[in-house]
Amino acid sequence: MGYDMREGTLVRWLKAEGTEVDIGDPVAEIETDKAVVEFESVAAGVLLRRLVSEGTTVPVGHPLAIVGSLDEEIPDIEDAPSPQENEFAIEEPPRTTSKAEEPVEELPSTIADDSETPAPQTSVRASPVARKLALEENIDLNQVSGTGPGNRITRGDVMAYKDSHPPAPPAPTAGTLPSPETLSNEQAPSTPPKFGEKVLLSRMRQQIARVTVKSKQETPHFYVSSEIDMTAAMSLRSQINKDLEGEGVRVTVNDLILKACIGALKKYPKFNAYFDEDGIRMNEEINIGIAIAEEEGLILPAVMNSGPMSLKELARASKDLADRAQSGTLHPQEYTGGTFSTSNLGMFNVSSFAAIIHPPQSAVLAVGRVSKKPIVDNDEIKIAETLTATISVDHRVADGAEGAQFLVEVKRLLEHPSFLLI
Amino acid sequence: MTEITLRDAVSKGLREALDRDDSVFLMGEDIGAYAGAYVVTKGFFDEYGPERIRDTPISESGVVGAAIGAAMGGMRPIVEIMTVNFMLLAMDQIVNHAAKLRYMSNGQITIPMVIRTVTGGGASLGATHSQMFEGWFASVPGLKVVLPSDPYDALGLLRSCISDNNPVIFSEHALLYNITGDVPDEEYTIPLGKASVKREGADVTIIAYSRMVHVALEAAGALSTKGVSVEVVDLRTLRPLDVDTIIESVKKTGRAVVVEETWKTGGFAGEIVSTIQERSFDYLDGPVLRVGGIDVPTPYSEDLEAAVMPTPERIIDAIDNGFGL
Repeated sequence: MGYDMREGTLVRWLKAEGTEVDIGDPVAEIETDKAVVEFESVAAGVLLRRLVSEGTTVPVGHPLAIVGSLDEEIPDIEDAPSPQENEFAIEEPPRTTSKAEEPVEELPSTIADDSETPAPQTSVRASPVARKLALEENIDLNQVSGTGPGNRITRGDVMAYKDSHPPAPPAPTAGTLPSPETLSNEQAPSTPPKFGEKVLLSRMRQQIARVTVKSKQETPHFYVSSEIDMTAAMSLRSQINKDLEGEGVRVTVNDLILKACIGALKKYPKFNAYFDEDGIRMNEEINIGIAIAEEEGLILPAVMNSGPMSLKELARASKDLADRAQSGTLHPQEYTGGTFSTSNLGMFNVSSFAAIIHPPQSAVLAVGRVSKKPIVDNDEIKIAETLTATISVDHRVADGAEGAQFLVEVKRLLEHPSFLLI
Repeated sequence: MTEITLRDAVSKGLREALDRDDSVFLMGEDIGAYAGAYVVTKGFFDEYGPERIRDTPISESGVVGAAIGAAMGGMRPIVEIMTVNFMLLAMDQIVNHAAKLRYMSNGQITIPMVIRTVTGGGASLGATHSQMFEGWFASVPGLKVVLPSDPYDALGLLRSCISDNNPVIFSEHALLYNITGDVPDEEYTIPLGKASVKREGADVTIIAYSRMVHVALEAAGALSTKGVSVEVVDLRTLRPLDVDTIIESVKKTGRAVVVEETWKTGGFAGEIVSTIQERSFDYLDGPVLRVGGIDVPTPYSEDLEAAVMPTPERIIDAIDNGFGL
């Protein structure tokens, strides 16, 4: 399943117990972080038993069904995933907080949560006693600097922080103080800031959060930008589309960019590689990813094996990809198999931007709108159609000069678009 | 108060027992006419005679087996095994018989036996004569394991061992025989299973036993000049183990180092570390550290042997690296 997927929901079984299945037969529909996909059998035989009921969320790696021969004895496997097996599962955001269920508590639950206990401090390096003390004193360990080995926060550090940050004095109260008896729950907290409603994270939002944080933390990005003269490419495109009329396929600006990227990737295959700790894994096929904005968030499916495609085939494939993204019928490998990505915000009328690399890929090209601009050509000012492209590159894989060479190749192909056809 | 050596303290305890109780007798290799390999029983043979001070053949299993039989018959034998290294030959008698008979007979039989032995390295005696196996014995229910670090403890603990109705292993460190200390002239005993705080401190607890108590005290002295206040807990008995004293100290200091002379891997220090984290996790201000012997058969060469032993410097380094103190 997905590169960074940790759990999925079994939406629907497609095969009944007792039916024969072959390798590759769709047996169930699984909701991943991005879409509902068909899950194919990895074994041939009879579907002896379904281990997961419809609507159940299970961690990746959890057995879904037993496939075997009819006379086979079924081993005793528990149906429901036990919490121990679920070690990688994401904790579901609570649908209702316990605070909201307490009858006397009148405050919106989000305010109570934020003001009462510090956030979980698991990622901070602190000794057990420092954690305990911070909890008791309501100190956010993220604010405390550690002086122990490896910057571990010690008891002394928390004490020092506490001494230098005395708790805020109680809010001044006008007039007479109410006696404790009259201080009811409704009146008591008069000063907390007014937060709005908390929007729970969708699965896609969680996935985007996870992947982008991981990418920005682990992948050292650098960026190279260039302005590309699209005049020739735009005129070639309108001519091609005139000729293709009636064939049900149109070449978009993005298709030209994809085609140029594919050409550059063939010349500089490093940008089509995955970084591993022990080496750079070159991918044999070019699966070019296209960022597609959906209502819920962003997806990044890829046109598989796009290397040998003609411009027309590529245009057809990218259109098909977008259509199937819309209908939620993309194949899992199209989500996960991308080797290089492109992101185009031209339709939103932006001039340029930089994109975040999608691990384990090494680079992503971000392009803005095509617009008419005065340019200097042979010491003459001309009107040209230009766009600005910015490539984000994993510095572990390639250096600035190589990034520049790659981008210049994309630029060369687009400025001499006949290369895109031959 | 009288200042005596640890050797004299043990001798004194043995004489008292021989004088007071006719059922007490000593058995061991060369303890009689030769006065003992470490001269603890000097003069005993002439004073108490060959019936009560019995020289035995070189047969540790036979000696311990005979003592178990005597204990079953109502005697209170005190056996000397020349060094703990040779106790391996008596392992079956100690672990399968001495430790079990009381339980397997539903309390009908008791084994009031003390096995005295000499333990530890540091005297250039080579790989087979420089070991410490007390941690192994301490893992066996039914045995008690005692390791004094000074004359006062040696006498007070030996008295309790001899009056105990269970088999007890009493290990005297070869390098501690000549250390001196004050011992009260009046009668006193030290209960088994009670650790002793040998130095009070606020920042780090060092837990040790036998000779390592002195190494820990030396480290504590050096650290005090750096402004680090070290508490040293002397376990004195590995079984029963005084968990409460350990935990009380760690809760106070928040940091613990367990120092053990023998090999670090599989050592008794690991048992103590586990207990500390189980019982006082929320009080810890850093990892529970171990300083132990390096995992090699003890070298004969004096310099190499010194290099594998825990030293005050290694303890100080561990505290620096582990706690930044």
